[in-house]
Order: sequence, then structure tokens, then C-alpha cells
Amino acid sequence: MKRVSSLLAAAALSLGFASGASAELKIGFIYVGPVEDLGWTFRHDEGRKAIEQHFGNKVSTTFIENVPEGPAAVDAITDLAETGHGLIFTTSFGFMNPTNTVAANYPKVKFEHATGFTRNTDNMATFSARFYEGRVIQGLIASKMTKTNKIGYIASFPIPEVIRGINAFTFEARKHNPNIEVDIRWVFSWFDPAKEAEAATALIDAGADIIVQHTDSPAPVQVAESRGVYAFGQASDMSRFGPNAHLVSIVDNWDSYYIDRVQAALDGTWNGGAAADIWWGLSKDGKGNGIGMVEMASYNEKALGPDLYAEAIALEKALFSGARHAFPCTGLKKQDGSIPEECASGAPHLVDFPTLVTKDWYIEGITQSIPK
Amino acid sequence: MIRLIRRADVTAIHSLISIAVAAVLTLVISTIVLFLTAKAPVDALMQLLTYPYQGGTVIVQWSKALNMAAYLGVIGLGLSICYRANVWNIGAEGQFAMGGIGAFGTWLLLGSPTAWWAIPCLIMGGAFAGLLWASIPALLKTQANTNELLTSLMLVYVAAQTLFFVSNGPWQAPVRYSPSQTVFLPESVQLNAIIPGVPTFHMGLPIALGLFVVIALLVLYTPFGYRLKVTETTPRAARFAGYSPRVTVWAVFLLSGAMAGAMGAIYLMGDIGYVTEESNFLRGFGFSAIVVAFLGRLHPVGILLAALLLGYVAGGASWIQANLREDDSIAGFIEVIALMSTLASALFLQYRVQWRGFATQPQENR
Amino acid sequence: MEWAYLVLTLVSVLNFATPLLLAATGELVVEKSGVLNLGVEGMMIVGAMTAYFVGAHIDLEICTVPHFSGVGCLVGTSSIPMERFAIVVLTGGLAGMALSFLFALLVLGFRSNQVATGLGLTLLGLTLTNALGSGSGDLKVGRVDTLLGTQASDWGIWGPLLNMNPMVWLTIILCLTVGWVLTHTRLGLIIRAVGENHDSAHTLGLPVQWVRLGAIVFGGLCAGMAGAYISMIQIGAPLWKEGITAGAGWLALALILFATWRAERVVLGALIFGFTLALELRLQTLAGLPSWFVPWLLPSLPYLIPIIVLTLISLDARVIRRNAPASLGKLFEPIS
Repeated sequence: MKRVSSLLAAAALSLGFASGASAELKIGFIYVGPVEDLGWTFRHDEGRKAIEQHFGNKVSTTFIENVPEGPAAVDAITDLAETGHGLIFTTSFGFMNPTNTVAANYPKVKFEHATGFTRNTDNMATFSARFYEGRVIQGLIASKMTKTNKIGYIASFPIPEVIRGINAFTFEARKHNPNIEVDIRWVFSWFDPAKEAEAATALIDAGADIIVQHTDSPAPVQVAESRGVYAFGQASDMSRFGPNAHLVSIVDNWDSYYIDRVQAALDGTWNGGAAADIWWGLSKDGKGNGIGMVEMASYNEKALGPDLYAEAIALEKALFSGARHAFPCTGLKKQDGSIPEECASGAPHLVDFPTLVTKDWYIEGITQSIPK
Repeated sequence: MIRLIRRADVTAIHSLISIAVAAVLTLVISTIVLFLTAKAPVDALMQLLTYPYQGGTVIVQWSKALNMAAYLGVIGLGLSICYRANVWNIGAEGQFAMGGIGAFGTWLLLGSPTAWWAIPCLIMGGAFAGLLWASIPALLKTQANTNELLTSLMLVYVAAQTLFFVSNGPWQAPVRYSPSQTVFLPESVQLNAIIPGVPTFHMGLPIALGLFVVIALLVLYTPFGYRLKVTETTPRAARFAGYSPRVTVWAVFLLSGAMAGAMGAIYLMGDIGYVTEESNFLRGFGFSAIVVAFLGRLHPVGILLAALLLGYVAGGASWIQANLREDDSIAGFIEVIALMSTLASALFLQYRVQWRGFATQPQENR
Repeated sequence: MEWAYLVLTLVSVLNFATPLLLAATGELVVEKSGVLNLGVEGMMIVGAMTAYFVGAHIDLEICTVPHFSGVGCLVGTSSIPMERFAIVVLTGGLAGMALSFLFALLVLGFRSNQVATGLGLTLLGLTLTNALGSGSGDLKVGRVDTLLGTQASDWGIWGPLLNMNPMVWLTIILCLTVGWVLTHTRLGLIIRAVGENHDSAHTLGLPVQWVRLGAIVFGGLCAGMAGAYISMIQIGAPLWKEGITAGAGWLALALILFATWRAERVVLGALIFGFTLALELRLQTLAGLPSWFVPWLLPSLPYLIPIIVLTLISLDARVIRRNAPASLGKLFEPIS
């Protein structure tokens, strides 16, 4: 009995080294979708790979994909905490409660939750990207490229992040082309290529000649390509799915944030708790210092033409350096015509908290209402 | 060639042989599959077998297994009662879902109470909802001879859709983290963890155990259980004894539906706390329970062991997923392999296998 | 009456009906031979996955893309020609067949309980495809060529109908042919004899187990090909995701029961079931519907309608008794 167990132990040890048991920090990732969604989860996984590349043998990473939001998530996050992971990233809004639950049970483990806003314990931080900055650029491009003045917007869930995107897009687009109509379809899923394709088809059938999406699969771009209209890619570079249709993609870039945070965890300077809510946009701090979480990729220069392309690049630079904010107060009204609080009291642009964090109203010019 | 001669007398020895064959087959084939699919098979196998003691918190790991075993066991026991009466209820997943909906609906109906007496009410509400949902296939079978296997299964899809509807529509929470979500049940109405820091080991587990024991005793030692046994082994004798087949169909459907519904209520109160759409609410308990019923050969003791086995294996699979970066699909494979092995080994229960050489002529029966 | 709209609806109906019909045709033969194979869903999904992966590899170029330097992507050609599509479908069918062999081994060889084994087969198919099906996202599978291609618009409102994949028409022909074979040929007679009374058939010297094996294997082939249709054609462009069949296998089983094992009725029933599936998309845009209609009733319809029609058919128990193969599901124990 002893010999067998020691044999097994030896086998385990030798294989254990292969799996990085000697690493200083084990980092875990919980994904809501599959790595090959080529969108949201894919980009998080690219971030994970960036960590491995940057830190080499000092870290080892594990990921669990396709985790449903709910008790299954609590189980999966607990599994990671139980198996010696010291830093865990949970990459979907719906993991907020599960992450908080597990964080309370494992005070020695550090938790980072993407796009959430609750941090109940000191070992918990949240982070989010100002994706809506990219939407501003998309709005500019769409306003000038559309011929039917109808834009199709494929949206996932009516949560603040998505509404921010719709608003930023529409606000900028209407500035340049007040006749624009944004037609929004809700698919109630982050990743469902069949539904997304259906929505894209329905929108194009209804007259839209530019498709915007806040869902994760390349299906809408593919449909746009086959129908001869334009589309914007989401979360990753989708230009190869629609070489003629693709105008530009908003790419999530978690690499620099992840590397920063892992470094902090290794150095002992990691911070969590009530104040640890980190938002990066095109730049880290909105003032042009360092690459943030949002990138624009693969501008279709041929389709845009030199003038529009130059304009888009200039706008991107302005947003990056902070010269331009995504939601300046000038001309900004809610759907019901009223003026947001901070604008009324003289602020130059909308503020993060509470307005942007809890956004639940449409901008003026959108004719539909937010589904309940 | 091989000749199969029906056993005249099926004794306990034959049962043991058949179980042993099933166990060996499962072990061998599962190990082969593990070696084919795993990145580090030796590691994976060892940790799959001993994972509670591999560096995590022992009680947390065991609790994972026990939590799943509770659901599989109770629902599986209910299903076994149906299958023994030759009633093919495969809609337990739907009855479970309706149990969750029924429990939440009961809570709303009672005026969203926060007192402790709401807990048993909600469990009963869930059981009743599951019972109602199971009564549909029962009604259709007894009144219109409709195949209950298909009707109960179709209703699972309808129940899944109902989950989406209630959590996205009339019961949708005003402040929520995803569109298809009801409000959370208040803490005082939830089945709280018995051991702090181990959310999977909650009050629902002892309740489930109690329910299991009560129903098991019902099946083993009461006249109802006797009726079931007669119906199972000799349907004609059952009819002669005056046991109405219609009543039997109703009884087994209602009982199993109530059990699945009760577990749905316990799931709502103990594990999840709110109703949401099917992909986040349902964990496949209703379908795995079918496997558990067969693995346990429709006997309460066997079902208990099978439920513990599948719960343990599932816990191990998620452990090696987190610890060794293996895929956790091995749990599903083991489940299927165990089922197929059990079905195949039932051969040895019913038949004597005789090797008659390589002769090609048909033999006379002697 | 908007004819164009009607034609589009017919296209939708046929689109949903075809895999049901194909799977049901195979299972019809199986049940006529006296075996109940509930594993249709499992065989279909295995066929769907296999066809998708074969389709992805049947035309393949490695590409390099800016911003993704170092990452290869599999790009299908923009279309898959008919001959290659046939191969793709066939491999899907073979996958279904492989699974059906396992079923036959257990049910015919090990004399296992047919219901439980069929359920196990479905579970096996789902488990296998869930486990193996990941790693597909970077595959780009080309769309299947259509018969008319870009000339579809030349045919006016009938274009979309004529442009449908030939599998649609072949399946209908197959089902009716199978029905004819069952009723008018010696082979069909043998199959039916085995299904009605396997003991008498055995006494007459008919190879009961071999006939059943052949039927089961045929059923697996059909189910696999039906799955291939779902993953390659049904949504418009090839798609694979877990559980893509969404109960189509069970609908096929219900279909056979509803059709009381008569091939012509199977075709009719497939059209009815296909209609309920097509309805879901069509009715969504109607105005003035109660709030529970679109989110609850519509998606549930494809599963409620079969319950209703099954009930109606079963009301007269004699109809089922008369038409069902008398030995369906019964254990065959040769006395020899």
C-alpha cells in the first residue's frame, strides 16, 4: 500500500511541476462564454495569455469557461479559491454577487470583477472599460457613412454599460446628422450567433445600412457582409469576418490592466475594497497616460475615404488625451427633453458616479424605450 | 457461439454478479476515457478519487458532493417509483423548475413574508407546483392513453420557457443584475448554511435526507410499497388484486412530481435565492436523476449510493478542472458509462451465459 | 393575399420540417421492426457536430490577419459545392450510425431495457458533443451552395422555394419511398413481420436480430443526416453550438406516434410540426398580443402542439393498438 501510494505521489509530483506548482502566484479566470467566441471572452483570454507571457514562470494561470451566472458560478469561483489561486478575475457582470459571496469566504484571496459595482469586502476590486468612448467614434463614422439614415443596433441586455454605449453612439451621430434613426433590437444574450444573425437580418430588412452590435459573436458582421451593408465589430477585431462591411472594431484590451494588477499583487501593493473601482478608457486615466482598456482596430480606410478617416483618427486622439469627453454637456438632453443634473449645475461633462455607473435613461433622439 | 439461457430463479447472488460486472465495466471504460481525454491522466485519476484531501478545505469539497447527491437522490427516488410502475416520467427537470417557480409564487402570494414559517410553506408550495405539473401527463395518460414519456418531456421545454417568462416579466425585479431575475428571497426565508463559509451545506440537505428516508420507508415497508412491487413484477396479478392501473399512474406521477417540486423549492431557497432563466437556474438534476434511478436499480439503497457516487464524481471533475486545468466533461462521461454498464450487466441478472464453442448450426434446447 | 409571403412561409415550414422528417423516417423503420430507439436526439446531435467539423475542414486555408499576427484562422471558402456537401452530410450520417451500433449492441446483444438504453444513448450523444464540441469558434465553415445561386431572383416569388437545399425534396421522397417499401415489397414485409410478432417470424426462419440491426443502423444514418441538416443548413449559415438540436429528436419520435406509423402521415405531421416551429418567428411581430404571448406561448408552441395532437390521436386507444407494431419494445427471446 505504501509503495503504491509513494509511486503515485512521485508521479503526481513530477506532473505537478509541469503544471506550474512552483509558481509564485496562481491566477484564476472565470469566463461566462467560450474562449472561441472571438469577442468578449476571447479578449479576456488574450489578456490572460499576456500575463503568462509577461511574467513567465512567476505565475501560472487557470481558466474555466462557459460558467453560467448563478450558483454554478459560486461553485466555480470557490473551486479556484480552494485550489490555491491567489488572484481571481471574474469576467462578466452577472458574476457580481457570486464573486462577492466567495470573496467573503476567502479573505486571503484577491478577487477582481469586471464591469461590476459592488465591493463588499476588502479583497474585492471591480474594473470596467469606458467602451462608450469607442462608440463616440462609431457614431461619427456612422453619421457620415449612412445613406438611409437608419442604423441598426443589436443590443444584449438593458444594463447601464449597454445603454451608455447606445447613448454615446447616438449623441455623436446626431451631432453630425440630426436625421439619423437608431433602431435597437434586444437579443437578451451576450453570445448567440443565431439570434444575432436573425436580428441583423431583420434590421437590414427594415432599412438599416449600418449595423452596430453590443453582442459578442461575429455573426452580425458576417450577415452585413453578405447583404452588402456596413458593420462595426465588437470586443475584438472582426475585420476578417467582413472585409468589405467592416468599418472599425472596438477592441477590449485587458492586457495592460491585467499586467498592472498582477504586478501589484506580486509586489504587495494590490488594493481592494470600497474605493477599488477602476475605469480605463482609450487611455489609462482619460488624460492620455498609457494605453487603456479600449482600442480601435482595423479602420476600413478604403470605405471611409481619407477625410472621414482623418476625422475619426483625430477624434480618437482627442478622446485619448482627454481633450474631448464622450458625454460633454453642450447639447446633451435626456430622452424626455430634460437636462441631466450635473449639466444643469454647470459641469462640463457627465460624471462617473452616479450618472454613468447607473445609467438607465436614453439620450434625446432615440424613439424607442428601454425594455423592462 | 454464446447462448443465453433465461434464469428461472433470480437470487441475490445474481444481483451481486450483475452489480460487480457493472462496476468493473464502468471503472475500466471510464479510466480508458480519462486516459484518452486528460492532459495528465494519472494526476487526474488520483485527484478525481481523493480530491477532498488534495489541499482544499475538506468540508467544502465534501459538501459540494453531498449537495448534488441530495438533489439526485430525492428526485431519483421519486422517479424510481414511477419506473417500477412502468410509468415513464422523464419530465422531472420540468417539475423541478415548476417547484422553484411555485415556491417563489407562494412567497409572493403570502405577501412576501420574512418569518420562519414561510419556509415550510414555500417547500409545500413548490411540491404542489411540481405535483400539478406532473398531473398533466398523468391526466393525459389516464384519460387519453397519451404516451407519458413524450408528454412529460415536452413539458420540460415549456417549464424552461416559464422560468424565462416569470423572471423576465411579471416577477422581474426592479433592481436587478440581469434582465431575467426576480428579487432575492429575504435571508430569513432562505435555507442558510449550517456551517459558516460553506454555502453548499445548507438546511435543505437535512430536509432532503429526511424526505428521502420517509419516502424510502414508504416504498420498502408500507402497503403502498407492496402494491408497487406487485405492479412492477406481475402487472396481471396487480389487476386481479384490484389495484387500478389508473390510480397507480396518478399516484406515482403526483408523488414524483411533488418530490421534484420540493427539491426545486429547496434549490430556490438554499442554493440560488431567486428565479431566473433556465440556463442559469437549471443544473440538469432532473435528467441526472433518471440515470441515478437506473444505476440504483430502482431500489432506495442503490439510489442513495448512486446519488452519492455521481455527486462525488461531479465534485471531483470540477476539482480537476480548477486544479489541473482538465476539462470537467469526465463527470458526464462517467455518468453515461455507468448507465450503459448497468444496462448491459442486467444481462447477467436475467440470463446464464453459456459458451457453446464455434459451432455454426443452431442448437436444440435441452 | 401576398403570395410572396406565403411562399416564404412555406420555405420556413419545409426548413424546419426536413430534419424532423428525415429522423422520423429512420426511426419509423426501426419501430416497424419492433424496436423503440429513444436515442434519436443523441444521434442527431452527434451527426450535427460531425458534419460541422467535417464541413470546416473540407475546404481550408490558413490565413494571417493584422492585429492577430501569429494566430492562424481557418477560413472556409465562401461556399461549399454540392458534392462536398453530400460528403459532409454522409459523415454526419455515419456518426449517427456509429452511435446506433452501440444501441444495437446493448439492446439486441445484451437484451437491455430499450427505453433506458435509448435515454442513455441520448445522454451519451449530448455528453460527447458537449465535451468535444468546444474549440469550434475559430472555424469558419463556408455556406452551402444553393441550387440556383445568384440566379434565384430570376424565378420571382418561387425563387426562395426552388433554391432550397435538395435535401428537403430528397427527404420527402425518401419517406414516401420507405413507406412504399414497407407496404409493397418483400423486404418491407419481413420488417413488419418481425415487428408484429417476432416469435412467429423467428419460427418462420426470419433473421429477427439481423433485420432489427439493419433497421437500427438505418435509423442512425437518417438521424445523423438530419442532424447534419440542422447544423449546416437550417439557420442559413453553418452553425454549431451545444444543444443545437433543441429537442428535434423528441419531436421526431412524437411525430411517428402522431402519424400512427404511416409514412404519408409522417410527412404530413412533419409539415405540421414544422409549421409550429416556423410560427414562432412569424408571429413575433404581430401587434396587440397579450404580454405572455411572445415570451411564453410562442416558444412553447412547438412543444405544446405535439402534446395536443398526440392526445387527440390517442383518445381512441384502438387507433394506436391497431397501427402500432405489436412487438414494439418487447424483448425478443429466441427459443432455439
